[in-house]
Amino acid sequence: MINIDSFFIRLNPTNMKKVYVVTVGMIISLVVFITCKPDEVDPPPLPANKPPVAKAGMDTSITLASCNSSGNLVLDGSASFDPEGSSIAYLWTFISGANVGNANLSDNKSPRPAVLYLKPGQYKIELIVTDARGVSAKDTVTVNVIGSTVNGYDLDLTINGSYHFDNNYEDCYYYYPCIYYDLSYINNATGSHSSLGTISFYGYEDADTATASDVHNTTFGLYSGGNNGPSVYGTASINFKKLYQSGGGSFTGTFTPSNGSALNCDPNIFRNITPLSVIGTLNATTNTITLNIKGKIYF
Amino acid sequence: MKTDKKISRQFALIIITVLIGGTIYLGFTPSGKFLNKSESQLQNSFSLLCKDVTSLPMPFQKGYVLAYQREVPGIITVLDVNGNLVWSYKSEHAGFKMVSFTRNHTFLCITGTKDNDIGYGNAIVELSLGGDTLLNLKKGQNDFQQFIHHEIFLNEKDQIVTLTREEKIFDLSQAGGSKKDTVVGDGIVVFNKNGQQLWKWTVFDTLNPLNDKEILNHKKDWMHANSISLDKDGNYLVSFYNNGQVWKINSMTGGVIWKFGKDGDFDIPYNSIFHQAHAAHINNKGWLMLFDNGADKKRSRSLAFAIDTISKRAEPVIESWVPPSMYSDRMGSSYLVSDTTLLICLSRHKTICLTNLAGDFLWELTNKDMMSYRAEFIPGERLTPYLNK
Repeated sequence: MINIDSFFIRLNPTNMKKVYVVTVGMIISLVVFITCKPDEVDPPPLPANKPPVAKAGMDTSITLASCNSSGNLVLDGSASFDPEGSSIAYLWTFISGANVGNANLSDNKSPRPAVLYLKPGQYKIELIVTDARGVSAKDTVTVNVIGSTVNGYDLDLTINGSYHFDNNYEDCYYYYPCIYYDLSYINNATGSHSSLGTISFYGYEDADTATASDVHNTTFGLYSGGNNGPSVYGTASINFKKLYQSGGGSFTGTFTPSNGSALNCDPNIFRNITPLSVIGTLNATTNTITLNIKGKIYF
Repeated sequence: MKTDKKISRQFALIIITVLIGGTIYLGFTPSGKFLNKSESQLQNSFSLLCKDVTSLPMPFQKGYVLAYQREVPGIITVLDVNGNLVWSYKSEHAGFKMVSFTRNHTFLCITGTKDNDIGYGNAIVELSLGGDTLLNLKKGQNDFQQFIHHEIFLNEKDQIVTLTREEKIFDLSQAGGSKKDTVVGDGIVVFNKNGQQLWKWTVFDTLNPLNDKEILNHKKDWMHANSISLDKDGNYLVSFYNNGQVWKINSMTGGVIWKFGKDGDFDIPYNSIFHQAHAAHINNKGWLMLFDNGADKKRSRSLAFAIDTISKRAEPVIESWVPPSMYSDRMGSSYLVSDTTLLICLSRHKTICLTNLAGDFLWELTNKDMMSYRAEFIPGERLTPYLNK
């Protein structure tokens, strides 16, 4: 048996819906909302429509973390409004700067879209808001993206971290047959610099267990400002494995930067660079390490 | 009311709610097979770290992650944003070396038994969402005579494209080897579903291993191709771990169109030159994207380049590092999801994560028992409608 009922609901002065409820036995119900034309429902006279107000947010500048990086930021047009209180539609478009690199807008119909992949340059982005009656207003926001430059920093950095050692690390997941090596790893190591703030450090050493000469290869890295911040990488002269196996203690050595984010600003930046001097202590009981690094680095 | 029987077509907004039997059906039942380990055990082996899944991009919330186990027993898993298994399959006899979800809503797999090298397989299996084996081609059948490895997918003609292990005899006596020395390289093969070879290319067509000064050290796995994908023009992109390059190869003639990476054809900013690459592909923005293992720096990152194939210039568009503690020297993948996030497989850490472009972890799925070679994102619309059929 099919039964159809209907009634009107008024959501606001301009939006009235007729609701049909269709019931087929006890099993299927259809609820149909039909928006009626104003003249079909004898609406009250509408007040004069005021245009919406577009607010694209404050002009802003960002500085890229390194010569290699691109910038991202979120625009905020959520302060835009319609004086009558109706909902508004958003549309963001580049009016200049779209051809700078590969910048683009993610979800450009959102009140708060992301602007992605910004390279150095100036971007002007227009926001158009449109109210329910199709009246629009616009505003523009300017984003200045400032490229990074190479800066030298004098370090006298004390770093504390944890040390891990894996004797005869068995690597069977990739190699067949399995290969073995000793793995040293310095992790969760940070220090503080007056200009750069927190600097993270890591060291990674793999040593060949198959040879008496104990071939080892130690890589270190320093970076600041989160995972994608400026960075320096290089090799370390310290054999952490031997130090650990001999019970730990103090050590001295050098870190030689050979690679890092500054390379894209100046490809020769790490040539003939003076190695950083390092002194430290490895506690083989607590598996902790302290390092003091001195010298000049370039981010 | 004069409009009782009028319907405005121009402004009509119709919302239809269908209630069937008084219930709303939102769930689905995992399908597939479990031979030993129970479904709940498998589910419990995953742990998810995520502050708020509702803050993740909507396509990721609605989509799925495909991960699998290469060792025996092989396991394929498909998980939703909450880390719940929605589909799984287990084989006691073979590991899943590589699994791709096809446009036919099937899983195409390279499988390998225990006696195989971890990355290599000796069978091609296609599974339906119902867990049925649609295809089982074994090495030795028809033209399928080589080990296959690292990648498999269906092309537009439903042909199977995969990488092969190729052996060729060379006189390496000048380099200190023997007069009849074997060099192991890579190939591309296209099979039909009967295992008949339709097209083939090998790296020996292009490069002479005698020009490699270190060939004695490299001869057991000279180039180590580890991914192949289709460019938008239908040609192949192949990444090689050992030389850190991605090659574009003409899918008709086999000619190398360009080489991208260290010592390649493109001008790449120095610090964006990658050292080892995995899962090289063209993403939905048209950028060449890959996971850089970063064995030189002991740091891994996601990279995407806007490349100009005329001027041969490459602009790094995405460079997103993972923390040093998550350095993954082998395997792995990174895919752009919804413009602003990256789905990264950090194989060595048995971790799959969603990060923002700044490298912050937004969603982290780990399984201490499973080291997936790659993690593929499956958009919801490609899988949800088919899960219960």
